[in-house]
Amino acid sequence: MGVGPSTKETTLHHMRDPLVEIVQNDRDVDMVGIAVVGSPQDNLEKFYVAKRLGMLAEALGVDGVLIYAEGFGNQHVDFAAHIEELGKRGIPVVGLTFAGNGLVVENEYMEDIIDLDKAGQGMETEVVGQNCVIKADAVKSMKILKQRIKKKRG
Amino acid sequence: MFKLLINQAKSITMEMPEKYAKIALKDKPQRNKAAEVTPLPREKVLRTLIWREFSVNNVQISNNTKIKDNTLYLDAALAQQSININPLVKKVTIDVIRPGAQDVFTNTIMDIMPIAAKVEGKIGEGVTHCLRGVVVFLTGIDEAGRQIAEFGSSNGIFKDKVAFGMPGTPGSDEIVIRIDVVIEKGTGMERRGPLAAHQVCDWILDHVRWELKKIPPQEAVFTQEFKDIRRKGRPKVLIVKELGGQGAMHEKIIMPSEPGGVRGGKSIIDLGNVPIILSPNEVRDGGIHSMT
Repeated sequence: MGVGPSTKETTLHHMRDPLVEIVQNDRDVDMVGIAVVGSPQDNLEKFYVAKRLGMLAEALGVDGVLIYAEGFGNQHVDFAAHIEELGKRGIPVVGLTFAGNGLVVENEYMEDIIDLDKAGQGMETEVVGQNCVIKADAVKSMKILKQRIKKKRG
Repeated sequence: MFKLLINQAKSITMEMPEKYAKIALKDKPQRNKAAEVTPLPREKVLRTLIWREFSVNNVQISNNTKIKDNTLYLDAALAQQSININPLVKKVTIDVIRPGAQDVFTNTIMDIMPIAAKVEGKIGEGVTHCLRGVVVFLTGIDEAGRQIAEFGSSNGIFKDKVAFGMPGTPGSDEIVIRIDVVIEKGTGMERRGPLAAHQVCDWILDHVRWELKKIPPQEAVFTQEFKDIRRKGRPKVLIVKELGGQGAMHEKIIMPSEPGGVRGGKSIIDLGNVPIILSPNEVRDGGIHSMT
């Protein structure tokens, strides 16, 4: 499995990304940037990349992370690994992905996952752009993340 | 208990031991209202991007490429010439799908991209010109008739295969320039096949970009300034975008020369899939080209 028509992000999507827009215009947070991370083929490489992301987040000293995974299936192996690496370092994470009929892997740090299934079929609909992140998802994830950061800070 | 009632007094002096005064003050801690209101964050602007959009309400295939009177003319010869860009590409067709005439068959949709060009500066800062009302669809098939798609193909009737009005798709009232590419048999599942299709598409769009750069700014229908802002003292938030990096269609081109282009960028696979930081303006200005 991988990236299908309904979950793929087109070039246009990246340029008009609602997640970037919402977070950037939110005056309650300081957005440090967007980390772009690839999803390799090999499982060992997936964990290699996840560890680099954990170290990067640690070095930047971030208080919270929003993570968005394109596609589904084996992409969720990376997704889970990224969240685990961030969770281990005590960084609150909110994930957004097309979960469909459930994720292939899970771990204890995956508390807040927002499902992007818009068609409600739990499967690849083969309609371009259908199951991608929209503004409502971005606002929701930001709200959860703020609560998590507040809770952590006490 | 201490009670004092005064009617018509000119001056009153009260004295009491210091310890009582202390207790009285302790009971009523003075609330500082100014401290309760969250102060506005100290904002620091790092970079500014000026975004200008120019309206296009008609697209015509013609014998030269130009933008005149809100009409985009596309040179029909570009399709034939673009084959020389990459030997894997065998045939290129350019046509226009207008709103209301979307009941047409389409090969699998490989990408949707806007037409945007850098006028000043590099991606993420300076000035960008963009065409409003028109988007480009790249579709593809291989010589053997196999769709260039890995997991699920979006070939079929155009209007059923696109969820209009999403962030990654145009509105149903936008004009679509369709660039259909036929690539060498069997290369659709390799990295080089889809890459060739994207390169050809980028080369054709470069001709439009050169024209777009020439339009004077006063003709813009929409202008906006985007700022990369840091807000000191606020919780730091990082956005992570996990993108496909497995080859074939699971690939992204990071930081091309032109917004949403291919040329000048590096593939995320060649970069080892490791996390790379982009600024919000770089993402907005087309710093990620999707190959999926």
